[in-house]
Amino acid sequence: MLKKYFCLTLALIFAGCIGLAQKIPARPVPPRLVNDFADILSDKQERALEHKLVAYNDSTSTQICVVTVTSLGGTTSDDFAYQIGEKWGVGTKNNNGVVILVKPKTADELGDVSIQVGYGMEPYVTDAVNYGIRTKEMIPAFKEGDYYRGINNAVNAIIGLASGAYKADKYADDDDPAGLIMVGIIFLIIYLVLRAFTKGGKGGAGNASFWRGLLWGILLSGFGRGNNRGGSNWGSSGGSWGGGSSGGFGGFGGGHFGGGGGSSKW
Amino acid sequence: MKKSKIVTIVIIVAIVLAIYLWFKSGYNAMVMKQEAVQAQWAQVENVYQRRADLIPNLVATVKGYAEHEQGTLTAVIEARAKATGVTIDPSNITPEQLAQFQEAQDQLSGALSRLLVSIERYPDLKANENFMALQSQLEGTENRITVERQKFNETAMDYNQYIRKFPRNIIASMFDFEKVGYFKAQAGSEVAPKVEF
Repeated sequence: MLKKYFCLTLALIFAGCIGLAQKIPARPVPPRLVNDFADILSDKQERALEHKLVAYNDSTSTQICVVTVTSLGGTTSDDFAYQIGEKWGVGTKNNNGVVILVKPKTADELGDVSIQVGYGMEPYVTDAVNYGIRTKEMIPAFKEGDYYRGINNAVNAIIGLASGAYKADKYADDDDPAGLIMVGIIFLIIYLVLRAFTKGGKGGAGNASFWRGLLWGILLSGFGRGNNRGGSNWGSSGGSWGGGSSGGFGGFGGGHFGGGGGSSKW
Repeated sequence: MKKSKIVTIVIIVAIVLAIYLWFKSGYNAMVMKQEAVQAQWAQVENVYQRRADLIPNLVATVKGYAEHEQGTLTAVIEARAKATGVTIDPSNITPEQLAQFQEAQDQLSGALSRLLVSIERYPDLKANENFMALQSQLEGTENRITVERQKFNETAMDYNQYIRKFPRNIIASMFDFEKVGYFKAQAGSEVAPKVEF
């Protein structure tokens, strides 16, 4: 008897966990920036948006993710959009992700739109601007039933606001200044040692020139390695996204969100 | 005779080394987790500060339109003064201190939501561009507060669980790693100002 109750409780807890997990849609495979779960965009519109957002991601590393849903699973649109951003990892490690969440208006429920911005986007898409985008660019179009125009307007506005904020290559080669200073100091030491050898080496010519050659060799190979590093980083960061559809979006980069942004209903 | 002595020494050294390594990994992990809690606490303070910084502007804007709301405005100003007065030493976030901090901030939340409700009676103010911008900033800040509080609770739970588990709690008590407090959800008065447009 007791065992039965125990099993039941366990089953309920398990079901509860699944229920919670189901609230936020799973990260799309292959990764996509436009996720029209509510099916309010035509295939052509989806492709056009996806194309624009992928191109923007390629050139700036900023990821704008558009999600439409029919239900918010009992939470607010802000929380829903935040959770998508955080769980999918929209944005790179600069936290330059944006989630645009649209729940279309139905006969008995208001429409709801939330734009959540990652930490790194907060200076560019401020709350006041965010509010302006929602009320001036999106909702007028949504009221006419033109979801594509509203979303497209918002995307264009955000692209305009964040232009120049991040560069795609900034993500790949993020040598911190301290590292560069260390490399500089090491080169300086090697150079000084080398000079000391060159000066002191006048007597025993053969031996000194061997050491000189060796040191120059180390120095140059060090340079070579320094140059290569950026390149190999590129490769590895490209590789880690892998598995994306051909020519499509590479994948989400683990950006974090702090609840910046807001939502509007219509 | 000689051989057994060596064996004994080796065993003792091995035990001492094992204890040392266990202490080292436990202690270092606690330091890391404590640092994470403190960093997250700084984030929580940031977002509350952000809200406090918005209030003078909000009060100034509302004043011009809603002269009859003097009492509500004064309540907001007083609650803000109280809330900014309560600070916590980030290296010692006790449950009591956190509860005190949260109470002060929740009172400010309550005063703010009363102000926003009373503003409903002033259509001119609601149509004011400056006010709408402030309101959207306030809304965004309340979102941020929710998120950072949630993140703080997660970090704090990770740390608390780590230091309280046996046998690591021995290390924790030896080096004074104290349990940190949590934010409590919806403590009655705490209703975030709901901004409807």
